[in-house]
Amino acid sequence: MTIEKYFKPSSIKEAYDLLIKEKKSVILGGGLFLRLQKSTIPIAIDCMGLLSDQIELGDEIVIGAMTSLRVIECYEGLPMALRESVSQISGVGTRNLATIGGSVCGRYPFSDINTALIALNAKLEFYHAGLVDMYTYNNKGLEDKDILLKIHMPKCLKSKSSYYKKVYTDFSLVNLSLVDHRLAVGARPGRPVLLEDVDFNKSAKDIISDIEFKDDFKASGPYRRALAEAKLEDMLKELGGLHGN
Amino acid sequence: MEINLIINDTPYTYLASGNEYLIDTLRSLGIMSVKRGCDTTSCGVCSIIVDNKLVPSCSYLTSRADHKTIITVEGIQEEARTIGQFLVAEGVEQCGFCSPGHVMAIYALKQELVDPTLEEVKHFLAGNMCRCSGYEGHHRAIKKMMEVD
Repeated sequence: MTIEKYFKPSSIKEAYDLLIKEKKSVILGGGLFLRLQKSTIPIAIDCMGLLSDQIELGDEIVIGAMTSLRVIECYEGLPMALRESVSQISGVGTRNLATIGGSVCGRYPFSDINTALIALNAKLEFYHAGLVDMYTYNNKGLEDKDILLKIHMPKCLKSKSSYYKKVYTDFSLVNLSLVDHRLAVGARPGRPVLLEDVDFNKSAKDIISDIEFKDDFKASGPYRRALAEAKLEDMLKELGGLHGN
Repeated sequence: MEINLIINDTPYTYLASGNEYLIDTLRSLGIMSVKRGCDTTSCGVCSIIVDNKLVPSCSYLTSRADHKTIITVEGIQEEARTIGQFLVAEGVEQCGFCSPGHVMAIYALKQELVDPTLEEVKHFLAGNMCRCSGYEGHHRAIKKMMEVD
């Protein structure tokens, strides 16, 4: 990535106005994945200090867009599905830089945290568009550019994330997040899919039988399916939700 | 963009381009312990500490570091020497290229974790690669260092 101009706005409104005015301008999150891209960015807008990096645990959970993945990993009181989802994203140093807002807005199909947020029924609070469902956003994005302010999610009873990586800090070959009766499966390698009202009386194999897994250079579709079945079975046993099998 | 940095307790005023990363800034200022490895945040060789957080300098925009406090191996020479001696005693030092990054990560680990288990140590250092060793020496060295501390 080549940044032609770095700009630090004095307000979110100023950042938003510039984002809309300059077609190829981008908002910086952690800046890690942007760094790896070959594109040229005429204006990189840095909202660090303007966007929240705080976590609020009230009637619902609210996470500021600039909260680092390392903070989420270590924050007691957050759902385990969320904390587990980020714990093997590269190393501690990278997680100190990477932000939840950057991960969400990147809409990366391999993202472990996006799968968890979908299972957690998260809602995204944008500056202009207001509240948007995470699953909808992850699949379709927004019509216009916008700035993610915060991520909201309801509290849950039980949650767990699991994934398979060839190397400890690698991208997942498949990832799963189970939150109460919602199951999201990502890195298939397509975008995460969501199953609601999961019937725990079914076997892991039957629960994900309708989900499509595909081949890519990292793994075949059947291999991913076998991994997902095994991982889901372990998750269900750990959460005490699987009967039989 | 003119920025102000505090690097190893020394204040600097620096003219950074929008596309400049801390690894280049630090090396241009003669701070050569910061090595370039993968340049994609995967290897940990370029690890430094910015405002008490371990970060890969290859991906930290210099402009973002305005008014921040940066620590490299040059700024913690006593601690680095101690960490290095434990690593050397366990035969970890081979080519040595990853050592500055490992020293910074171990320094950050000591600041962040109290009496860590071996699993916690492994987890914390997972982002720091060493192509010469099998990491067993690192773990032995850290265990012994923690016992002494």
